[in-house]
Amino acid sequence: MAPWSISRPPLVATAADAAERPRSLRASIIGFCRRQPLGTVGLVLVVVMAAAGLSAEWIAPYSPTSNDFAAMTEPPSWAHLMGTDQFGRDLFSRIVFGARTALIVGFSCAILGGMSGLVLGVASAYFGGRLDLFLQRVFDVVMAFPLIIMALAVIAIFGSDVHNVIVAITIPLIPRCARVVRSSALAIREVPYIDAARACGFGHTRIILRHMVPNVMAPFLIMLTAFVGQAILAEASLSYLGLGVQEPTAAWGLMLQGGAEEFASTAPWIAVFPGLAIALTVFGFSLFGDALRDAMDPKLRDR
Amino acid sequence: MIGIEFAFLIGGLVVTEQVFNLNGVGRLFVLAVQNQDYTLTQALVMLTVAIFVFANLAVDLLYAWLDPRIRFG
Repeated sequence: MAPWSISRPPLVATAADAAERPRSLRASIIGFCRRQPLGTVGLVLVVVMAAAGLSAEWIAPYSPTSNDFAAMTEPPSWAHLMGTDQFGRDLFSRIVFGARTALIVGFSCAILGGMSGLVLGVASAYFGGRLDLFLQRVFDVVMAFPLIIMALAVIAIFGSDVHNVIVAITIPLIPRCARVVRSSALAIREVPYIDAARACGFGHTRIILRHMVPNVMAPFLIMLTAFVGQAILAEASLSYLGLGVQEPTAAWGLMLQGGAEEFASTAPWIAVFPGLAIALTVFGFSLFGDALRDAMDPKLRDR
Repeated sequence: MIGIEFAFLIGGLVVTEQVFNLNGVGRLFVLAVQNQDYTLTQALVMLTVAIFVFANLAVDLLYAWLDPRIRFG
């Protein structure tokens, strides 16, 4: 039984993490907040936005799609916290429901793209050789398309719909994730315990799932938080162009499109609040992602 | 870095043109997608990608020219 016991690697092999291991989840969250004040700001922004999206029905005082023609383009007041738009819809309710749209698109894109990237990246690094070469060239081709252009092309083929928007944003994210995962998986492939695992006669599946994937988790999770922000931004720009989520669904990009141009000077609150929501959310995700990177992987700090 | 930044700028162009009501490739792109004009969309995607690829090639060549330590593979 001795060879089996040496083949289980420690999950994450950095010294800092080894010191943190015995602490509880709560203690490590408090530690994270103390060491990463900016990251905490980001985390708070993300949590507020996620809470708004998850409990939109209970927070929003009005329906996001109901029109109140007695109160069109009203400035912010106690009845309408952020005012109303040109169709008499309550902006605060629409922002809260827009958070749900952004959350759905952001997380599904990040998770789908991240998972596909993880599988392809690890497979590419582990098997190497011709498969690696082939996948890398395919990724090169996909990476040559700027994110928005690629998304627009996908929308042009499938038509605009929430599901198609998710697909359109996911596709350009896959190679970006696969690149990062591959580069860290390549380093892990050369580590002796992988050879040891192979010498023990473990199958490819087991070596990949139990020995390689846990070790690329740190860069993978960092990529994932960055992707959520990117995906939300891409979704907002697509909706803004009128090619993403369609009316009357509440989405931040759509709210900018509807109000920003005609009412920019007469009713600035129509454009300001959704813009602020997009900016704060993306800002929150990138701050949180940066702090997570510093906390999880000190080696990556210089990048 | 400039090469990657370039791709980002082209992507941003589409949105920026819409914001400032400029007539340009980005506007054309959005209209082509809205009208389901596949040929025009294809051509525009090709154009953008070609610009991006050549910008990257130029950047790579510049690297070698500016920094003699980098040799062509």
